[in-house]
Amino acid sequence: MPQLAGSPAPTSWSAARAALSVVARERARALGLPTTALEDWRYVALTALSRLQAAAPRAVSRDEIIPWTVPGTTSVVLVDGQLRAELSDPLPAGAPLILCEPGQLPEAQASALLRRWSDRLAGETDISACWALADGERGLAVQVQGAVVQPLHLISITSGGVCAATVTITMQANASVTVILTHVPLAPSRCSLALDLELAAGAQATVDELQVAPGSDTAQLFTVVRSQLGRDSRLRWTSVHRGCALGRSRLEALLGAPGASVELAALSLLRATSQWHDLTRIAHAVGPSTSQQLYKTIADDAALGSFDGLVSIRPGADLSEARQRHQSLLLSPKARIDSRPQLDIAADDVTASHGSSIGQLSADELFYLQSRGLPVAQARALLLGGFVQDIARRLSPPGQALLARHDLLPQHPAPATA
Amino acid sequence: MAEPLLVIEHLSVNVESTPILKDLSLRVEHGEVAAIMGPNGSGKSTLSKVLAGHPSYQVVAGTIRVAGVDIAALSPEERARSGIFIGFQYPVEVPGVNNADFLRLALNARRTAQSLPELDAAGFAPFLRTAMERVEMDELYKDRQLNAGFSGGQKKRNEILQMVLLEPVLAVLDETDSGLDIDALRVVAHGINTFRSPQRGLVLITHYQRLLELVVPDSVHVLSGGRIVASGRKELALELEAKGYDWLDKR
Repeated sequence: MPQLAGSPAPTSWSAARAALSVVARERARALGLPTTALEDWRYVALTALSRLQAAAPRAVSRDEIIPWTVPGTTSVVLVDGQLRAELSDPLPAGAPLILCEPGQLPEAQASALLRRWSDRLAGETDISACWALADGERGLAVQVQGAVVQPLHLISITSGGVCAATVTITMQANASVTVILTHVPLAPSRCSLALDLELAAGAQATVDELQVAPGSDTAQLFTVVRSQLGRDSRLRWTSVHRGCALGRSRLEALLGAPGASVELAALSLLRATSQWHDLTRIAHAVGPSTSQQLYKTIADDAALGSFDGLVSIRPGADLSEARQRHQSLLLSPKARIDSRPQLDIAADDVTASHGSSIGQLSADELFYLQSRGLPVAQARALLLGGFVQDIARRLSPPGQALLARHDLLPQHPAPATA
Repeated sequence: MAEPLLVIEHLSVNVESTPILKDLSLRVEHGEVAAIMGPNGSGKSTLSKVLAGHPSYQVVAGTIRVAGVDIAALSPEERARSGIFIGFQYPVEVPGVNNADFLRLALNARRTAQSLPELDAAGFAPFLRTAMERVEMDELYKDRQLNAGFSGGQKKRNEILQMVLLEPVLAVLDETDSGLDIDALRVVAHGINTFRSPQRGLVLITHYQRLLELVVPDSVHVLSGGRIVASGRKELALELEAKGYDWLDKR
C-alpha cells in the first residue's frame, strides 16, 4: 500500500536515534572543522563557514511551497529537514511506494538503517555527513517496490537556522523512479542545511534523479550522496546549481555488481560571490560496470567553483568503462574555477578517460554571431545556452518545467530583441 | 547620379601593427558582381574581415561606405542588420547552438532593422524550408548544431543558406568555393546566381577561375601586397588562370 506516514516513531527508535546523534556529534568533533589543508576541502573558501548569521527557523505555509511544485509530480515536502506530510501531496493510488520518516519503517528495517549509519560513522571522514546524521533525526525514508510512474519531487525547504536532513531511497529489484530534489532556502535565506542521501538500488533498478538548488547569496548547503548499485542497475543523476554562500556536494557511487552503471551530469551557474564545489568518488568494484561524468561550471563576477572527481577501478573490475569530463567557462577575471579529474586504475582490461577544460567564451564564436546581426548580449546568451545544452536535454519534462519557471538555465534561444 | 553600393577609398589596415591593406580603393555598383583574386597573403581575407567589423583589424586610414553610409563606427551586428553579409572562408563551429534557432535569430535581427515583424518558430519554418531548397540543403541540417561536425562543403553551403535567408544588399563571399566538390560548387554557384539582382552587390573573393565560370563576374580586381594592382573584366580572370599572378608582377 502506498503510504505517506504521519504516525509518531516508536520510543525505541527515538532513543536509539538520539544515541546515534551523540555518536555523530562526537565524530564531527573528532574530525574538527574542515580546513583547506584537507584534500577534500582544498578548493572551498571556508571563511564563509563562520560568517553564517542564521535567521530563526519559522513557520512555512503551503503558499510558499506552491511556486516550487511541478504539475505531474508528487510533491513531498521537508521543512528544515523534517518530513511534513500536511504540506505534501498524497501519493498516487496504487503507486508501489512507501514514504515515511525513518523511525516509522518496520522495526527490522529501522534497526538495519541505524546499524548502517553507525558503521558509517565509525569510519566517516566527511564532516558534513556527520552534521547530517547528528541533527537529521526526522528525515525521509523512501522505499520503491516497483515502477513508479509519476516523478517524486522532494522539496527541501530551509526556513532558517542550522538544519540537517537524512534521506534514504531503497530500490527493490526491477524498481524504477524519477526523483527531483529541490533545495529551497526561504527568505531571508540565512540558513544552513546538511543533507545526507543514501541510495541503494537493487538488481536492474533504475533511478533518474535531478537535484536543483536555485541559489542564494547567504544560504549554505552541504550534501553527501552515497549510492550503491546492484546488478544491472542504473543511476542517472543530474544537478543544476546556482551556487550559494557556501555549497558543496560529495557524491559517492559504488558499482558493486556486474552491469551497474552511473551517469552523472552537473551544471553549476555561479555569480556574485557564490560558490559551489562538486566532489565525486566513483568506485568500480566489479566489472563490467560503467560510469560517465559530465560536469560543467560557469563562473561570473567573483564566484568560485570546483570539481574534484576520482574514479577508482578496483582489481578485478575488468571490462569497466569510465569517462569523466569537466568543462568550465570563466566569464570574469575575478572568478575562479579549480578542476581535478582523477583516475585510479587497478584492473588490466578497462576503458577509461578523463579530461578538463577551462576557458572563456570564444571570441571567434561571438564575432560570428555578431556578424549575423546578433547583439553581444544575445550572442553571449546563445553561447551560454549552447554550453549547457547537453545537460539541459537530459532533463525530464518536469525538471525542464521547474528550471524554466525559475529561470535557472541560460535562455536558449535568447529572444531576438535581447 | 547615385553613389556606388560599396565605395572603399584609400583604405589601410593593420593587424597587430603590421600593415596588411595599403591604400586600397574599390568600387562596386548596385547589381554588380565583382571578383577579387590574388595570391596567398595578399590581403583578400583581411578585406572581408574589415568589412565585417572584426575587432582585430585596425583601420588606420581611409573610408568604407556602403549605400552611402560610412560604416567605420558600426559594430559587426549593426553592419549585418544594415544588410552587409560576409560569407567566411572558415565558418566557425558553435557547439550546442541549434542551427535553425540561430538562423531565426539572425533573420529576426535583420527583419527588425527593416521594421518587419519578428518571426516565431512556426512563422520562420516556411522561410527556412524555401531557402534550404534553394541551396539544396538537407532539412536534417536545420536541427544540427551550428556548423558543428559539418564537412567543409556543408559549412560553405550553410553560409550561402544564410545569405539567401538574410537577403543582404551587399554580400562578400570569402573563398566560398574552396573545399567544394564539383556538385557542391554547382549548387553554391546556383545559390549565388539566384541572389543576384539590380539592387544588390556581390564581392567574390577567390583564388581560382572555376567559380567564375559558374558565376560570371562583371569586374575582376587583383589584390596583391595589400593593394588593387589590376582591374578588368571577366577576361582578366582567364588571363590570370593562364599566366599566374607572377605575370602581373612582371608587367
